[in-house]
Amino acid sequence: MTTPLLSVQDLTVEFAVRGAWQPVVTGVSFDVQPGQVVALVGESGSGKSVSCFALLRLHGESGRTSSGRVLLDGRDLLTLSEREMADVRGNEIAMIFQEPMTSLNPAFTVGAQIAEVVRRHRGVSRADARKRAVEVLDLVGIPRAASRVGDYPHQFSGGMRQRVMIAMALSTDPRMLIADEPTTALDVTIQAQILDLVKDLARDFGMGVLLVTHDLGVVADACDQVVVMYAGQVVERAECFDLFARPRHPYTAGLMRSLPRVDGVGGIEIIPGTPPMPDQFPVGCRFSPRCAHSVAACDDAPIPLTQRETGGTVRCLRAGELDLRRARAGEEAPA
Amino acid sequence: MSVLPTQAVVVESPRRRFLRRFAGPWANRLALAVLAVWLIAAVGAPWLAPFDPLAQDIEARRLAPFTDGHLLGTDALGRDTLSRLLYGARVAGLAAITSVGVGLLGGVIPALLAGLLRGWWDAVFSRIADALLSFPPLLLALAIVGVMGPNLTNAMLAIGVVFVPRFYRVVRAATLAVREETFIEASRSIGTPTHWVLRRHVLPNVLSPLAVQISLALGFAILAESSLSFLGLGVQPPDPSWGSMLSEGRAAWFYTPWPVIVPTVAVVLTVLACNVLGDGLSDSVGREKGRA
Amino acid sequence: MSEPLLQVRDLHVSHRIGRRALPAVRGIDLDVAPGEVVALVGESGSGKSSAVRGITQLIRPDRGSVLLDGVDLVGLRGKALRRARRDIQMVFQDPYSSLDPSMSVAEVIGEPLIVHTDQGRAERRRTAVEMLEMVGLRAEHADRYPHEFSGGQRQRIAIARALVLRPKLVVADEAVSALDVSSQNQVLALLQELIAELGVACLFITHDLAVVRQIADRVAVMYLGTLVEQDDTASLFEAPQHPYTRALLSAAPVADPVVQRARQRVRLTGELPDPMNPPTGCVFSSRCPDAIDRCHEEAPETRSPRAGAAVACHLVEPDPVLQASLR
Repeated sequence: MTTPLLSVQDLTVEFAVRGAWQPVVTGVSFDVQPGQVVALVGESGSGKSVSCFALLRLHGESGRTSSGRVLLDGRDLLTLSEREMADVRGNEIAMIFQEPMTSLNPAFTVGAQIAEVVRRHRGVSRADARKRAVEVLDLVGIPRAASRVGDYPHQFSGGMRQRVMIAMALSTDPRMLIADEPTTALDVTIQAQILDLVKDLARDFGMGVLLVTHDLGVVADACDQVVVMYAGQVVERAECFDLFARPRHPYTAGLMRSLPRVDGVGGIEIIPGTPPMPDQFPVGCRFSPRCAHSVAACDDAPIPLTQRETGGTVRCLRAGELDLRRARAGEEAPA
Repeated sequence: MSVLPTQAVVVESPRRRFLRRFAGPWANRLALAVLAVWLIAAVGAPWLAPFDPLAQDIEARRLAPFTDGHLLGTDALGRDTLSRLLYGARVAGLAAITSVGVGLLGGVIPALLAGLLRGWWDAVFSRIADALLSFPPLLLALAIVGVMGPNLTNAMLAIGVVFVPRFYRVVRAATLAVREETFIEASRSIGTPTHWVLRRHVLPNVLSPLAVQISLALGFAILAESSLSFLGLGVQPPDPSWGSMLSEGRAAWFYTPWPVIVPTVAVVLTVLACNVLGDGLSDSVGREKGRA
Repeated sequence: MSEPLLQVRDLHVSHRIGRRALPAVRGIDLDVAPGEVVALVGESGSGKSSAVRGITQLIRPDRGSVLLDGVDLVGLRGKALRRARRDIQMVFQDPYSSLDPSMSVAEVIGEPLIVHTDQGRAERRRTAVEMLEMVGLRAEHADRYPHEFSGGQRQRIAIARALVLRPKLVVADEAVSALDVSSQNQVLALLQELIAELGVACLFITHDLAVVRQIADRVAVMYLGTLVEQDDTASLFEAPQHPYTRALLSAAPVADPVVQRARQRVRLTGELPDPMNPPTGCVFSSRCPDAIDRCHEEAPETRSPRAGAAVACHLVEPDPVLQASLR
């Protein structure tokens, strides 16, 4: 197996909550290979965004990474100085966010903003930086890039702005792209275009992509590997097809069943209850209070990650014995 | 009817949250203490003053503090400074409250109408406000007092007129912001009449920025009244006012500085307290810093 | 077939920007039967929010009629409009700004009662508590303030407010779009249940096709201010007639990689055209993969390929019998 581009190992992030440090994300591990799209899936509060910010050490004063390693091509990012880290951000690892309108500075042209990034990391001349800006705008499918490079963010539609963000991220030829809910705020036809673009870029440039989302449809469309998070932990990690065919964690299965589907398969089943807050994490399995398959042993002690039968990992004591596949139309659900 | 699960409800009423944020910084508490003292002085002057503020005593002229029962000394005419200070607080208080009241009366309702209904209301009222704003405040007050005659009432009215366009602007801006909120649209979709929307939806949500302006205005009013009285255009002698005490005390400055120092300190402390209060209010009612 | 509760005919709504008028809705016809759930679907710029505001008279339409139980809302003003509003209530998208933060929950739910009934304070409170329990909250929540609740709970309060007068029609403008997934499901389930229980009709505006499939009886699809297709839900999803509908359904990803990656997708290129400068002929002609010359020259009339369906596309053949009966 090739060396992963990004290897997150046993990452734990703590936040200051009312004076004390609370672990918000615990023991997160996953890899991203070059050219691979990895989905980080979970509801709001699952810790997926916190994990991403921790990868780039963007959590500021209120958070700290208390243990774990984040290896980019073998180099542990958590041990770098702030100066070295600034060279990594936007350069080797680029990040795009959900709301392109608030991520772009309305007072500057998009060309100027892209050029600024290029000059900061590559130190090239103004003219070269501008040329690069036109190049990447064209790459992401902005029509008439040469003239649009002088436009301001408000002159672009939502979908176009997200493309501009992607262009800015690409301008420094990053090895890795972290996309935090990049299509959530976009129309579905535009979302399809953006996802196609991200897939093409990953394939054409061998760029690793970490795609944070709560939308299983997006995962099914674009991702190779899936990492499912709940209450700050990874609860299941597997190849995309395998995960959907046979989820092994009750939360994963519950998530799949609770989303209404465009093709009308199945009704919606609501997972009762709500996820716990960081200061109320149970000692044992954090999903146990809401789990239909929970037994006494689930609440005793923290649940370790175990290997899934078909590859990947899962954090469930009963993973080996449960069959959580959704019943196909007309069939009885397996016992 | 299915039992739908509900999440834990965070318990902190808006009042408690405001109090917690406001009472935190020591500056706010100090400001409140100063204003409390001022209020006690203003209200309790007739009972607290050891001497009659108008009573002249040739024997006891230009006394230093702590002499013969005059805790803060006397002025050139033998009048007790402490008593005059207390009655001056009264005058300042009256001036502040009345002028702010005039400002509110003239500024708030037009602002609500202009902000919510726009159109002609906005066009007419905003032009009037702009015109009033283009006069330097003290000059405007001077002009009004000059025309109507120098006395405390006219001075207060004049300052109130100065406040009208300033309150108008703040309330109008806040109303413009509030009217974009969905709950206003929701109210209209229910069929709620405009006056109810103004009174129950717009006004309470506009009060926060207004409260800040009011406390700052109180400070300004005290300063303005003192200035007008200093110039002889406000409170007329022999009635005490901090401003007139200042102007009268100047002549005897080399004999005893106290009749000048005392009212000056009083004005500075009180106005400072008003400004700190305004800042404190402004910080306490805005969005909570950090996660909500 | 019963008389429709809501009959919208030739509705035109525009937004005044300075001196110019931006046309948002370019003449739509829409029916909602009593107790029916109709989804109005479209992406940004489709005009669906403007259509809904034109229907509820929050924006005065330029042209057209909106008949609610036979009464045309468009001409109404003042007291008459207020009275008519009793039967058509709204739930809005943003749970964080649709409830007045300075009012308690009981006051929020009680506002429609103040406007439309002469219930006293005690009675209003009783009714509010009743509504709270109906939406899955508890009596003790009545004196709390909106900021103390989560998004999902606030939407429940908004639903309670919308239903307190037992209106005939509830208009939900993206009522679940701003909620996270689990809240979405809970609120949708609640809405479905209450609509069925109270026999209320619902006009549900959304961009989320999966949600449409869950709760709607009929679907109307909008693009650039025009209604391009209307049909019952099952037929629309199984056999969409209009190229835009097909593209829309095609773009919504299915949460199953086996299915999703094997799908034939209709890929739409380009962006929504400038509404001030729409394409000549059919509004969709600039992006339509199936457009022929006629599409660029002439705007298609709405036609019925079969009973209950309406499509605005030259390439769809009308059913001759139905077409004749429409004249």
